[in-house]
Amino acid sequence: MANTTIIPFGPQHPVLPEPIHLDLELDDERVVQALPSIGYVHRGLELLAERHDFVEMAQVAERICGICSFIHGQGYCQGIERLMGLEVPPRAVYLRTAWAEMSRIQSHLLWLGLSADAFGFESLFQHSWRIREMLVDIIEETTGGRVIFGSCKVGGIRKDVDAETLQRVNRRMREIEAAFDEVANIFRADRTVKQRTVGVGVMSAEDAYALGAVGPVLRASGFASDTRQLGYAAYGELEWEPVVEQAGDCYARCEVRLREISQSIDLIRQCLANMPEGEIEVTFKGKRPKGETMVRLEQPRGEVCYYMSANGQKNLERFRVRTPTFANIAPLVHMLKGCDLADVPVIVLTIDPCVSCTER
Amino acid sequence: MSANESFEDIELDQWVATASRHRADGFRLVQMTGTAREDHFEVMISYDRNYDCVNFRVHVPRDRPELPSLSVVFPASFTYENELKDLFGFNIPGLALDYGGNFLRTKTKIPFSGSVTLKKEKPERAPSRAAAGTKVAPPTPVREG
Repeated sequence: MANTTIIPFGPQHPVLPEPIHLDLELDDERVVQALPSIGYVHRGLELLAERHDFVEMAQVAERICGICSFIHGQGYCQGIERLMGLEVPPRAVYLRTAWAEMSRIQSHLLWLGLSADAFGFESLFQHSWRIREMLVDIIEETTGGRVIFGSCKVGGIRKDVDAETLQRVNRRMREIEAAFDEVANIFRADRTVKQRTVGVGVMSAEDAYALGAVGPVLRASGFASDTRQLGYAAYGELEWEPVVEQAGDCYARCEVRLREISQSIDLIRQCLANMPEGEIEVTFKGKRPKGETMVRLEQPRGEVCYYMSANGQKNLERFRVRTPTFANIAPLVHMLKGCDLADVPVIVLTIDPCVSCTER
Repeated sequence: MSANESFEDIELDQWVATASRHRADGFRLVQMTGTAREDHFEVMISYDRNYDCVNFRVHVPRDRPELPSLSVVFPASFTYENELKDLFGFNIPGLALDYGGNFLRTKTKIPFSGSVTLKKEKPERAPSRAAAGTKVAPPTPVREG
């Protein structure tokens, strides 16, 4: 029987923007087993919810993560609104949906850039982030923030966007789409990208489902599951279908994200075209949340769950966040078994790990 | 609570059987979480099938925080169970991959045990000028849970 070697991977590694640690047990160059561990940036945000007023906690929720910040704020606000029985005005709902899709695009473009860098394709990395910058400018113009949007609040949104700005956003989405199509073609056709991703880190649909995979990881294995199908926000009124690929490898996960960027651009256009007029928030003076709820949304990395329990006081009794990366840890361990050591960074990247989310 | 969402209390001895039944019925494990109540711990588990989410809750006594592992039924449960172990101090017999309390490296060990003292918040009002210079008693530590 061959001797095995244990190689530590992370928490500091060139392909890891955030700290996660893997103990890789190797037989020669092949991974026999991978043991993950997290907790390097644990911030205790769930416990903080038991201390903060439920209104101001929306600000904290948005800071759970710097990439999917808006959707965390949206999920928190949706939960509180459900507990208080608030009906958010349609205009706020549509603007929330548009910003959530912008958040998805910028997250996927960030991932494409990082993965191109991991493949050793430096110029593709720079082009992906150049396009992301165009989108972040739109986010800044419409919300005032680039990383933390700060536009979502309990009962609606903080500020409206005028018709002229919405038209400008529509025009600039066309520019972004044209620029993105060029980059997407390179991801799809380039030999070096394919060499590093096709047939690597394969996971079947059955395994993905059984191991609780979510988001692009699950959909790339042929499972059409997207939490937006629940019809929250404006998704029930828009035309779209989950993006699904069949191969279950790193290339398929990349392709799902490429197609989701195009889909998000389309969803933003639909939101802009059908933007209702009217109020942007509903008041709730004197009301406090009571009861319990489980809110599920689709983050760029997959399904996120918020469990909230309140007893009519100003603080929540419990605020639990189950992030998509946390759900994708078990599938990652499965994918790493039997792969080559050189493929570990690419496989880890294709679950798009967001450790700050996971740590909370 | 939305139309496609339910919460149900079950007995502790039904924990594994409920999981097995849902696995056989094609549900997937969505999440598992704990809540520290005054006299017990609550553990909630969520299953989903075709976007229908069902949630089950068990009460675990504080003096014996033990929950049987679902590793055999849902292999992915090991992350949630290690989290319960690290945050709430649970003992999880049958855990397939046990990190021995080192999965989440929290600064405070077992932060959700219900006996953690948090830093006092700043007072809501600034002290009046008349009170300036007078000795103020230190804030009383708050016990959570």
